[in-house]
Formats: sequence, C-alpha cells, structure tokens
Amino acid sequence: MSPAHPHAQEGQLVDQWLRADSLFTELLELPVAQRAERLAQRCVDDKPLEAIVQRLLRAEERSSATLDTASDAVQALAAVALHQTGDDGPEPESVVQVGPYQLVSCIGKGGSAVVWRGERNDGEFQQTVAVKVLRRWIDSDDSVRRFREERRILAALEHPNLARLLDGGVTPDGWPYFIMEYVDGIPITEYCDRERLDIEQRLDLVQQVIKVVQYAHQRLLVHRDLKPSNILVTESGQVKLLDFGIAKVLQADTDDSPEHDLTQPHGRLLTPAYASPEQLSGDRVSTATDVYALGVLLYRLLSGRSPYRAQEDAPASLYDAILRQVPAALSIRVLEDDQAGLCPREVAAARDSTPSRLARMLRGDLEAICQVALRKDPEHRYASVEQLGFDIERYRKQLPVLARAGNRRYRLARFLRRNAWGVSAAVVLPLAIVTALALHVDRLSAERDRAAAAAKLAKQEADKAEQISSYLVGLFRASDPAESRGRDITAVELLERGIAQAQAIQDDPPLQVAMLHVLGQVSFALGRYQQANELQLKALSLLQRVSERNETLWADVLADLGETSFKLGDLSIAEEYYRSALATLPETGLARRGRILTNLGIVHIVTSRYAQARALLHEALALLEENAVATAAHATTLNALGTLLSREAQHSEAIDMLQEAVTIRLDLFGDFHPATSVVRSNLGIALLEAGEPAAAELELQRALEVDQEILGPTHPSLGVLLNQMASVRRALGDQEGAIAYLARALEILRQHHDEYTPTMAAALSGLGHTHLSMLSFDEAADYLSQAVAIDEQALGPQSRELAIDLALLARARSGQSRYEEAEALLLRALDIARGLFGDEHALVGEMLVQNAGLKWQRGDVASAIEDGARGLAILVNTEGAERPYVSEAAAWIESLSSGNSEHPPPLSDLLL
Amino acid sequence: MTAPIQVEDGLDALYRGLRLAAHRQLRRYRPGATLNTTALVHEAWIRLSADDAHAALPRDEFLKLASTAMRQLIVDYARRRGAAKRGGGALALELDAESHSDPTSASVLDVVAIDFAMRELGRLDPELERLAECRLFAGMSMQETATVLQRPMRSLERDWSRARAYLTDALNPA
Repeated sequence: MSPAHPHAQEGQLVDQWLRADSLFTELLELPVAQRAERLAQRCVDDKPLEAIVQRLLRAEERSSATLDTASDAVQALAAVALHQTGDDGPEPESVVQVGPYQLVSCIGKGGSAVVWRGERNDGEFQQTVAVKVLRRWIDSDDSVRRFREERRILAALEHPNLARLLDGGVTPDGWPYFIMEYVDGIPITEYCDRERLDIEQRLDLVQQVIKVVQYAHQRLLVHRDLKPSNILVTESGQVKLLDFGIAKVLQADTDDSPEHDLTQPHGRLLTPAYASPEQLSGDRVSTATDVYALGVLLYRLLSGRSPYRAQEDAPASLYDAILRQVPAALSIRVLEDDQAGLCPREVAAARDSTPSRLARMLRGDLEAICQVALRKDPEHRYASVEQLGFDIERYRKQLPVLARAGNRRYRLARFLRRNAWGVSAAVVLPLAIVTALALHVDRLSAERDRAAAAAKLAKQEADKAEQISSYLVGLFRASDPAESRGRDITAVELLERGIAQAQAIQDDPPLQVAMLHVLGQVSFALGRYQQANELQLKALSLLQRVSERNETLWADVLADLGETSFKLGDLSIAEEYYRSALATLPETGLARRGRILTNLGIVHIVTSRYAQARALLHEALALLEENAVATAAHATTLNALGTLLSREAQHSEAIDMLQEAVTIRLDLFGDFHPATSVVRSNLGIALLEAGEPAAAELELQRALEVDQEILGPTHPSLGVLLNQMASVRRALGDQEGAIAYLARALEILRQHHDEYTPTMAAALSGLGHTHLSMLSFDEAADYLSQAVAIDEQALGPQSRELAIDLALLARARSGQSRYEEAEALLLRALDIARGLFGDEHALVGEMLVQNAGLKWQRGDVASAIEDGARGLAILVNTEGAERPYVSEAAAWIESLSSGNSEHPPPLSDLLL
Repeated sequence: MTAPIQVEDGLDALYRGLRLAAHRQLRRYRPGATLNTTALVHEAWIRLSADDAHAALPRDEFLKLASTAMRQLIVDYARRRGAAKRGGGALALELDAESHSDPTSASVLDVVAIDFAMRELGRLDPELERLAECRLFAGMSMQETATVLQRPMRSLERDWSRARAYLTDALNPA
C-alpha cells in the first residue's frame, strides 16, 4: 500500500483548523477564567487541537498591540497613498510606447483603464490599433502568469463580429495592457437612432450581437460588461464587440478568489445601467449575466429607455430598482415622457413609426421576451443567449414565443416560492460528487473488513480506490481559479473533465474501467442517468477485453447498469441486469448480493409483483443481517420492505419499519444527506397512506429542503419528492398548492427527458387527481389518460399504479357524463386490483364503492346498495370506520338503503 | 470618425471623493501627519452625496464600498512602493518630498502583510475579512461597523475577537 495521500493530509489539516475555529469561538463566549478548563475538557485526547486553540487564545490576548501597529501602518500610508494617487501619482498615462506601437492619442479614460490609439509604422507597413492600459498593478510572477494565460485564451477568440485581441502584456513599469483591433464605429444605440432603423432592423443587429456572445459562451467566456459603448457598429453596418473577457481580467487581479473582491461589482454601483442584480449584490457571475445585459440592450433599442423608471444618473434608486423592481412593460414605457427629455414622438420617429403603432408592435411578445431576459434570478432567465436568440426568431416568424409560456410558469413558480418554501440559497452540487466518492471508498473499506477469503481482493480494490481518489482529487485541484479562470467550476464540468481524462487513458485498461465505473456513479449521483448508463456500458465493454477477470467489479458494473436502467424507466432491462449481476457475483460477496437483491426487490414492488418482492427482500435482509446490521444497505432493504407493506395497506408495520430505516440513516449520514431524505420521503408517504397527512408533510418538507440544498433545484430526485409533496397538499385540501408542486415536478422531469418513466406517470396522475378534486373533469381526463398510457408502457398490464389511474380516469369520465366508458375502465381497474391484492384489499373496497356510485347514476339503486355495502365492509375492516371517507361512504349507503338517493356518492380521499 | 470609447466606471467618483477629502484634511494638518480615515470616509460620503442630490447611495452601502476602496488604494500604493524599493519598477515614486524622511517605509511592508493576512482570513470566513476591512482600513468603530454590516453587536464582537486572533497569529506569531 502506498503511503497516505498528501491530499488526505491536507483535508485533515483543514478539518482540524475548522474544529479549532469552532472550539475557539465557543470559548470566546465564556468568561476568560473558565476558558482553560473547558479547553482541557474538550481536548482530552486531542493534543494537537488543544495546541492550536491555545495559540489562538494567546494571540487574542496580545492582539491589541499588533492591531494598533497595523492600524497605525494603515493610517500612516493612507495619507501618502491618497495624496499620491491623485493627479501626480504614477498613472498609466505615462506609458508612451507599447511593443512596436506608439501611442498617439488618448481615445478613452476611466477608472479601470486608459485607451489609446496606437500606431505602428515601420516604413512600408502601417497599422492602427487600440491599446488598453489597465490601471492595475501587477508585480508578482504569479499574477503575470495568470494575466498571460487569460490573454492567450482571449487571443484565441476569432469571430467577424469581435474586435480581435492582437496582443497583450505588461509594460516594464508594471502596467498590464491589451492591444486590440481598432474599430471605427459608434455605439449600437447611437447607430440605430442615427440611421432611424425600424424594429426589424434593430432586431437584426441584436441577433448579430447574440451570435457573437454565443460564440464566446461556447468557449466558456463571459463578457460581464455588455453595454452600448462596448458594442460598436461600423459604417458598413457590422457589429463589433469590444473587450470580451477584459472585465474578468480587471476583476481577477491577483487574488485567487474573485467573489471576495468586491471592488469590481460594487465599483459599478455608481453607474450600473447595464449591471445585473447578481453583479450588484456580488453574487456569482455567469453566462446568465450576459443574458441580462442583452435584455437591457434589447429593451433600450426597442423603447429608447431604461427598463427602470429610476434615473440613470441616480445610482441609489437605480441600484434599488435593479435589485427589486420588475421592469416596466415596454409598450407602456414607450408612451411615457422620459425624465431624460425624450418624448414618445421622437422615440417612435427614430424607429420610423408613430407612438401608437410602436406600442402596438411591442406589446405582447417582445415585451415578454424582455421580461424573461431581465428576471432577477439568473436561473429564471433564458437558459442561454442562444435561447434568447431563438425566441426573437420565433417572434419574427410569428410563432408563439416561449417567453409567454415561460411567464405563466414563472408566475406559478413565484406563487410556489411565496407559499411553500424559501428559495434555497446555494446549490452545492460538488457535494454530490464527494458523496459518491465517499460512498465508493466506504463500500470498499467495508469490503476490506470482510472474511479473510476476500482480503486479497479487497486490498487490490483499496489500492485502486486510492488511485481513483487521488485522480478525482486531482480533478478538484485542477479547478483552482488559475486554471478555471476564476469561474466556479461546476460538478458537471469536473465530471466532463474526468470523462475526457478517463477516455484518454491508453495503457491501463483496468484503471480505465475503474475510472469509467466511478465516473458513472458520480454521473448517477448528479442525476444524469443517461450519461451514467453510457459510462457503465463503456466500462462493461472494456471489461470484456481485460484479461484478468475481476468478477466483483463485473458484478458492480452490471448492478449499476441495473440502477441506471431503473431510473431511466426501463424496468425489465433493469431486472435483467440485476439478475446477471447476481449470477456473476462470486460467492464471497454477501453484502453486495444483499444490495442487488434489494434493488431487484424494488423493481418487483414498482411492477406490483408483491409476493416475489417480499421473498427477495427477506433474502436480502437475512444476508445483510448476517453480515452486519445497521449499515446503509440494511436501511435500503428496510426502506423497500416498509414501502411494500405500505402498498399492501399494512400501515403501522410499514411506518415502524421505515422509522427504523430513517434512524439507521440518521446515524450513518446525519440529517443533511440525500440518503436520509430518500427514506424520510418514503416514511412520509406511508404516513399519508395511513391517513396522517400533517405528519407526512413534516417528513417530506425536510427531505425536500435537504435535497434542494444538496442536489440543486433540478435534480430528478426532486421530481419524485415534489410529486409526493403534492399528494400531501391534496390530502390537506390545498389543490392549488398541489398543482404548483406538480408543475415544478413536471418541469424537472421534462428537463431530464423522463417522458415515459413511472415518475412522469405519477406526476400526471397527481395532476389528474387534483383536477378531479377541483371538479375540472376535462383536464383531469386529459392528464389521467396520459398517465394510463405511460403506466401501460412502463409498468406492464398489471400494476397497482395502472389500476389506480384507471379508477381515477373512470371517475373523470363519469364527471363528463360518459358513464359507459367509466364503467368499462372501472371494471378493468377492479380486475387488476383483485389480481394483485385479492378481494379484501382497501383499493378493491374503494373501487366497489365507486362502482356503486356509477350504478346509482344509472338508476340501479339495488345493485348500488349491494356493491356499496360490500366495499364498505372491506374498508371498515382495513381502514377503520373513523376515517372520514369511510364514514361518508357509510352515510351515503345508509341514505340509499333508506330510499333517500338525492346525494351523489362521496369522492374518495384514499387513492393516492 | 471614432467616438471616444468610454471606460469610465463608478470607482472614479468614489476615488475622487476620497482624494479630495484627503487633500482637504492634509491641508489642515501638518504634512506627514496621519490621516483620520473615518473622518475621511465620512467626508467623502457627504461630498459625493452633495454633488448630486439624486446620486445618494444608501449611507451604509457607501461606507462598505468606501472601506473596500480605501483598502484597494492603500494596498495598491504600498505594493507599488514595495516594488520600487525592490528595484523592480522604473517609476519615479518619490514624488512627495515628505516621503524622503520616510516614516512610512515600514508601513509599506506592514500593509502588504496585513492585506495578505486579511485575504487568508477571508478564506476561513469572508465575513471576518469584511469586518477587518471596516475596522482597519476605514477606521470604523464597532458600533458603526455593526450598522454598516447589519450585524448584531454581540456576534460582531465575537467575530472581531476571532479576526484579531487570526491576524495577530499571522502577523506577529508568538
């Protein structure tokens, strides 16, 4: 075994440091006299920790002197610094020659840079360039290196609408500069007004801008400072974009953590006409920032005005408007007299139009497009500048624009946020990777502890694990800001990078397989099931070429393929993979066998084969308990068994079992972990089925909070959770809330193209059910027919879900007065339910009561009473007479028997 | 004909305000005397908000921004001077007659070190860095800092102790 990895040591150090800080903070709360005692208590067997905290305590005691000195130093220098950096201090204006270029005239001057016209003249060859000298001081090798790197990337940008970066460097005096193509043009806004371009022509120009910004975005460069003075148009009408990526260089400076450098975003505070909300608040800048700036540009080109009524030269109110005000509607804004003195007639004339014609033209689509581009939350804007471009094209081709559909959804989402939960502050995707990695290593170390027979294999795997870990850690390393150019590297980018590296491995097939396998698991954890599936398939095909056969790895890959297929909704394929994994697994892999059996059991639950599911799960449980109780896998099996019991309407047993699973996961992972959330959400659903929606909501709410925070707002797991939450809201009588949750679930599922998965069917079923409760039968029938179609395709002809959706659809048809169809559907549902659960299951009882309702509609009161009584007996038996629906049904049947048949039957609240 | 490219940004006004305030103060005091940075920042605020009645940023926002700007100005200056002293730069830095008698040369190194330590501090907790900036570079009182950062006094005091311990440990290790 190789020695402990240096990164592991570094991790320990950070960990120790954080623990020291928290203990130190705790001690600060105590009176000085009590600190030593508490410190000793806390560090009984951690001397290094004690030493660090002691050092901090002593530092705090003598800090006055040091801080006084520091303060003096600052004050002493402040006088000179402020004095000197005035008119007579060192300034980039002193630069007269850069490389072969002589700086002939100053064409721009500002807080961050001075721009010169530079000329090169060596007799025959003459060239004019723009030279931008930054007001930044670069004096360390490191920052020079970073500056050069940035320049290299920018120089690689080549596009006809982009002013080319020709060169760059640092003058001998330390002033960084860029040499750019000299553009003879005027700002786009001036050009449009001067040429009196109409709306169509203006949109043409905007599309040119969008194309070039898109070009840069594809190369992962964000402009950050799009505004008319950076978007020039030449005499020939060609757009030329200036300064791509330079705002970034200005910001990055020498610090490696740009988000801490508040100067730049806040520096714009005073002239933020084109700045986005995230730039003002110092949040993460991304391609969405450019989408926003393009939105402001579009708005201005169309209306001649800022999106906000605040005065542009009044930073405080503009600042507030950008952060909080919804932009004024274009068509209204264009009719207003502007504070800048622009009257509607002039604005319209510059667009070759009249005020009322212009307003009519802007109303609706263009208005909506601007609104979406200008949303406060970057995530709610167009997903890319390309999408913005597409929507403008749709408008021009008179197709419906997405912005208007999006706006409806957006309003729904806003409703949701107002009513359901606060927006999660940060998306911590990389955690998912760390989790996957930790689980992998965890799994391997568990294996190491296994019987002696497995020891050799385990050791090999542990070595491999270390190799892989260091490889992955290397990926994170590579994401230091120098290499990532200060962007936040997303988990997905890391993953892609990892995949590229894994695919490039030439001479080590076993390592390559192992890498692809782990990356597949990471991909899975990130909810990218299709990609995970492809990676595992690739691993599998390579495995066939590796001479030394590793049965365990082989089985792992097959089992993972089972999981990805399951998530992709291919249940029968998943089942096959699990079975081959079981067949491949060596005898010694008991814990693995238990896990695979559990997963196979889950497939059986989902496809409603309950007896087999139970057998598989019990076998798994026995293996796992023999191995070690209270492991993560053990909890998975309990979770599956609990869910099975819940579906079989054995509520209290189900709840007990799921509660135990939650307890185990809490012990192993804590509360703040998706693995705990999964079990918690199933507990929630079991509580709901047992008629305790309020308790259910607590569990689901927590699971949702945690998963949103950790997995991010678009992970497919959230689709499932939102769905479950909707069931709870519906049971609580909050139909609007239920619809809002479901709308969000559908959006997530569609994003992942989960069109034909059981999860999608469940969401559609939920929407149908909710509409039933609202008595909108047409919509309900629509959704439920779709759900039925997907059920049939994904789950086969005999599933619990299909039976439920058929029964619900029957109710919708009956609401539409299509009684015959309703009866046929309900009979089919009853048939399936009896086949799955026998005659005495609650679902069967409920369907019988529903059938009684249909018979009553037809006037066949005698049959209605008969079916109703039979159904009621089952329900009283399984659910208890006190559940509201059961007692309502009893009252209704009572009224039928006593000859009073005025009232329609009650609507069930049991079907989920 | 080419229109001048506008590269004006908002820091200009702020820097100008700070400098003007500094010049006024320096006229009142002996040359070479230290500045009262708190007074400076406040004066800049009053000036800038009087320049244009509409341009009034919320006061707390301004003060937060100004403390960052102060740090930037001072540290930038210190680094330039540091570079010159190491013989790295060719710029004439000794423009100010007073600085020949240099009460500030030690400060140059100190300030660069302080800046470095503060950045390290920011890695541990960005709040601590911001707090240190207000206290050290804008010379704000605890009460003022609490208002500007919108933090309760109690937790601010605790954090200030933390920041002081870390800075002391970094700048003046035992």
